[in-house]
Amino acid sequence: MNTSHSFNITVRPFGDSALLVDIDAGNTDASSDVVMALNNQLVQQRTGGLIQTTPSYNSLLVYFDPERVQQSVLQTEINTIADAIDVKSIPLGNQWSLPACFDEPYSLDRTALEGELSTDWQSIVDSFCAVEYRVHAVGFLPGFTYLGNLPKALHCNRMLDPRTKVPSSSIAIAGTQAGIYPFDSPGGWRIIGRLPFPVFQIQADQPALFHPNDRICFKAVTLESFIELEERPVESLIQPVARQ
Amino acid sequence: MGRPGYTHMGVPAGGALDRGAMQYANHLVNNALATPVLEMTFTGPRLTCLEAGKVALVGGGFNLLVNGERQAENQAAWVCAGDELTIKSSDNGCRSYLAVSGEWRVKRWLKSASALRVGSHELLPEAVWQSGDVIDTRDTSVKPWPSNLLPLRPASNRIKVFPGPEYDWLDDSGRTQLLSKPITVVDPSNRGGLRTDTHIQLREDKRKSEMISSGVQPGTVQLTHAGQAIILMRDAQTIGGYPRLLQCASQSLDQLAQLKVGDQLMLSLIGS
Repeated sequence: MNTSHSFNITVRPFGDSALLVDIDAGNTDASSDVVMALNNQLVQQRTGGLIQTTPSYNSLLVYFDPERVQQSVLQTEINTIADAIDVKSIPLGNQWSLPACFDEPYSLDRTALEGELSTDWQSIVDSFCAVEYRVHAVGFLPGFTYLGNLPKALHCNRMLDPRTKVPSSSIAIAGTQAGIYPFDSPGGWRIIGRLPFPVFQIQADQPALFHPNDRICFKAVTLESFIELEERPVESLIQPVARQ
Repeated sequence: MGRPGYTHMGVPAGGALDRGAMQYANHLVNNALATPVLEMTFTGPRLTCLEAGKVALVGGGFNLLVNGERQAENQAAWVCAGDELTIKSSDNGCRSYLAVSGEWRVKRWLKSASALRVGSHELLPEAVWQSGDVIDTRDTSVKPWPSNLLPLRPASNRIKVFPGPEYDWLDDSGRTQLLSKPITVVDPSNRGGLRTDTHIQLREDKRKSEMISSGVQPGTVQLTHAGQAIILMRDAQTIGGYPRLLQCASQSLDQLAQLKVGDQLMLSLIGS
């Protein structure tokens, strides 16, 4: 237990060249803050033998080179870092306001969701656009963006029979989560709309547009303006704003 | 090797699936161990040498023929301009690596020449070699003898595993099913993962549990809702939502790289 910030941490071996850190700070946002802070500290201080990390909602997967650092030594080091962690030290991330179209032909699961959530499409889109989402993780696929804070009214089941092809830039919901698909790929989340730009650009220095701890709002646009926006470069459509 | 360092944005490290074989092939032609190689699975190419140099084929499932003459295994062959190389599939194993002496001039993405397929999209299409492509290498001075090269391990279907984060989601009967008998690789299996013929149930109180998405690695053994164990390989997803029952020892990954659909393997818990 970290006394100053009150969270529980377990650091345990996950095979011979990784450690899994699980954080419980009471709720997802608070746990995510600790994961981010810990990840930042580990990466920034260039911990010896560290290869890469995968931060997620309430966990951090730490890959290390067993020829350069002993598992137990790194385990102790992570616990020591956690003891002194300052959650306020984490970069706040960027704020994004994203134009998105929730009309046909992009709202693939409209009928299914109207049935499951017992409400009409306009209310679903309104609820979805009314809140700010937090990026909790980028992963699964390159650039797949996991969002938390989906309104309760929109919590829904995954598809029993996943699609073999979800179009790239689709906006999706499933369970208590929302997400953005970076590429055409198989997927079982419910598709509600689409962004008029790619979220993962292979040629860019920073291929992933969004990073953990960013905040995202969606602004519904008509099909006509969506088609027009699709023609424009992403930089002219959205700009990150540093959070204060 | 591969592109380590980008799992935080969902990019797996990837790289040669059988790393031991890939390094050994490079070693035989005096290349730096991380020099790109051609990875081939099930079918091999026919190549024409445009210049003289050294080549070596290491791995499973293929034989190298130079001008129709079969070459000794795990040895480098000197070739001249005009020589014809044929790489023919054989029975054991399924992946081989062709090293060509010199520094490869190839396109890279995130510092790696390794292909990565996402859905139907190739993120580095140039890394998927096509008929007519030319491997363009620049001769380099002889590399120092590598000190960290492991000897080639004999093929084996016994895979050493550690308990995974959700190992205790299995009861004794589940553990027995997973660990005490051979399991078979089934379709679809690829660079992302090997699927198996298992039908394993989780502990009763865990059957309806939904995990919060968390990190997975190459070698993680996940269990799907349908009870199928999937062994993740080097191009696998970086985050997953299925219970992670086991983690293969990193040295077992190369053995797994040589298993094909229909092959059997035995998962054996380290320390038991």
